[in-house]
Amino acid sequence: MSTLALKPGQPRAIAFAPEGVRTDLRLLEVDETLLQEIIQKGVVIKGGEEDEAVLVTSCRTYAMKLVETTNLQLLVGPQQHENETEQGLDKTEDAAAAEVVAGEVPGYGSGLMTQWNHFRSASCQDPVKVNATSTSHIELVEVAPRLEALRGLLWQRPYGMEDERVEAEGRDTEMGEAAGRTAAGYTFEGLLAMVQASPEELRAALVSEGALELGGCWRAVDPNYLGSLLELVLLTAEQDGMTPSALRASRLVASLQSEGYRPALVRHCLSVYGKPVETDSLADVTGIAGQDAWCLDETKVCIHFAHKVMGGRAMLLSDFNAAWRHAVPYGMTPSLDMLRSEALIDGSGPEARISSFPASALPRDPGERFAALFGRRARWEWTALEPFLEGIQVPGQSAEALLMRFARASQLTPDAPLVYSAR
Amino acid sequence: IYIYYLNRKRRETCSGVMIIPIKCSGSTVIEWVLVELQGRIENLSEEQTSEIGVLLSKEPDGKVLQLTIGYHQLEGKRVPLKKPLAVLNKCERLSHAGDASTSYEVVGVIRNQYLFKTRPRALISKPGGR
Repeated sequence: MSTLALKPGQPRAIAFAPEGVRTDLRLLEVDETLLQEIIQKGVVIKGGEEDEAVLVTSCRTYAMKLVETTNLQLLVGPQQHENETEQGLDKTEDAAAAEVVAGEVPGYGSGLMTQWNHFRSASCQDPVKVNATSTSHIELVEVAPRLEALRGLLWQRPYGMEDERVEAEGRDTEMGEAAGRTAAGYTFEGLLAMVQASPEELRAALVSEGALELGGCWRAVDPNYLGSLLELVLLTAEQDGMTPSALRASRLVASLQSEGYRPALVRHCLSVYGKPVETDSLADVTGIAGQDAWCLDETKVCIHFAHKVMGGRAMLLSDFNAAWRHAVPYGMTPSLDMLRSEALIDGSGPEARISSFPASALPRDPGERFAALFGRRARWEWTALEPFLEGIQVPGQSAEALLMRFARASQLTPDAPLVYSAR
Repeated sequence: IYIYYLNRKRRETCSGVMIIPIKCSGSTVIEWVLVELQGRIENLSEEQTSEIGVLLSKEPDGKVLQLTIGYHQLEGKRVPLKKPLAVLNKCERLSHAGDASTSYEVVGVIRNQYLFKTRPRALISKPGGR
């Protein structure tokens, strides 16, 4: 029952249940949605020895905090029907006592004698039974999933040239699969067991990390390898008469297979640098493998060539712009705005220099990211800083809250823009 | 008889564990009720008793309760909890392979609380008493 269902004016004892009182039951603060999910599907608590435990649903991660109280919490479980009439004492006397209580004058407490009468009338009924006691409950706070471990796991054996070669050899022999080649990477379930994230959050992270799924196992792809493959795709498309916005996966796969590239890798490349295109065909598209029509994303392709041109060093901006325009495929127009979370421009005018600084290589944890940002550059204007803060928001905390926590704002003059530096 | 003391709150983080499912057998969950006292109770009498005190509802809606513990009288109100509390029972199982696995089962949910937080009144006999 959700209330004690006491009859007004009728005293009832409250007592510890004779069958025993539990002290080891845990109370977990939930909301109705979470409660329903627990009832219907169940949820899971995850964490290593060193980590704080998290509770994970199908799509969210919560930190668990134990809140203790020095109040005494008496937990009253389902009660049996009270037996009002039969046992023990003289019924009429106690019923009369009960009436005395009911007739009390409001505003005046009852004296001790009346209280004794309460006890006596109460004892002819079953007491309200306390089945358990508690002195704490667990509070849930939604947090960003803890995905730092994921990068390490995905990058243990990134897919690259080596894997192409081994695969080619494997195909020639009957024993290909068993011939000492162990599947590299982790299954989705394996990853789920090792990171403190929900399944949905993990899937999103795998996409944003550009992870490859091969034979049910996930791993990172060597960026140089993938970049070369992209350029080969562009070349092949041009030769085949396809424009970057209307690529056919089946034709690319066919052309590139003869060069030794696995179909799965070609499709993975398309999914990283492009978007699926809806076609008029009635065929059901199921995931990357089933999708045939692709359109390359101009921004992502230009970013690839920008990093290639910079080659890991600082370049004069003017030189960079010229080289970049030359490097991108015909029909694509690069613009510096594309690089707002990929590169930094230091200095101004003819001395301005640009260098690679991809946000994807920065830590996900807000504190560590700010440390990395201020380590690279001591003072940031908001317009330059904001793109590097995308994707690290903690649920329930705005960008302003993060700034207040990790940065210090200052202004040279009242008209000058705000500049952020380390706290 | 039990008597009654007064107290305060504090916070703490709990340590981590591996993978522990929380589930509920059945499609509905039983309602429990929470009675919360701001203090501690102690049995000072010599007799073994499990009786804590006596509850009395004065109004028909049952929202205001009087609880008498020993010679103290407390007043409590029924309030719906801002967020329900799930009552979890820990289950430890040993698989035939010898691995121990832990899980939690939801045995109930608490949506209402009777909170007794006023200063208790000490009861005295009426003058010229019986």
